[in-house]
Amino acid sequence: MSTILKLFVFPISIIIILVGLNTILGGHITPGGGFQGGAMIAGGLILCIIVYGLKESPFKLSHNFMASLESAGALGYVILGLAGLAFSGFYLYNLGVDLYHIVPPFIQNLFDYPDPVHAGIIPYLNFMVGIKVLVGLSVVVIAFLESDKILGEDEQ
Amino acid sequence: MSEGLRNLIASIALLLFAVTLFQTIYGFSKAVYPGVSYIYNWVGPHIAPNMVTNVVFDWRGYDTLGEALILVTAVIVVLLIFGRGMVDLGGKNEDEENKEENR
Repeated sequence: MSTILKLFVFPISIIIILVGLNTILGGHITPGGGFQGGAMIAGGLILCIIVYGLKESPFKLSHNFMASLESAGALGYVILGLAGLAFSGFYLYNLGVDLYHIVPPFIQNLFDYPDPVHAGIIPYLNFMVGIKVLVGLSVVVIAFLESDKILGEDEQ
Repeated sequence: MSEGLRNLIASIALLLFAVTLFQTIYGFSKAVYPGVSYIYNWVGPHIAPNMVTNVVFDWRGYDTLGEALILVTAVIVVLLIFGRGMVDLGGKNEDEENKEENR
């Protein structure tokens, strides 16, 4: 890619990633949420990878790191659901809000998101889904970029 | 089966479908009762201001888990078909480093 793009894209991608983080963390107040914010972060990463190339990208995304992020997101979502099942009897029950008043107060304080809205486990679920979507979308693009290597092996 | 009989069966099926569809449209405002929407609009502001996030992550939390797993499944299938175990995601794996050391 050209020199102008190489100067320009790294700061812009950092800004895109920060806006994506803002979208994830404000998902229960402002429009957007985990899925949209994760897609924005993946867009920033993909912009860098396409412009600088996979080997010289400033974001070093190793296989283990991506697999750990994906597993952490999925397991976190499932574990939050299982916590609801354990404490209230309903899978993915919103323990922080506790609409039915069936949970002891200390557990409700444990799962409460400390902001003026008190949205319970919704911000945590937003964060988990954001991590999962970020990894999923960027890994697909990386796989497509690597596909010329596989085609080259097929020709041999 | 002859051509005429097939056309007759298709016409009857189309007629049944049309009658069902237009019967639903006729008197549509009486058929719909927004009871669930009243509950959502009453409960929603008690949880978070963003009603879409309330629906997606609170009432439909299990659906959202499945939706995220659909994305995971799509990525796994893409990596299986296009990658076939040969794609490294940019960085160095521990296995590759071990191979290079062995060389």
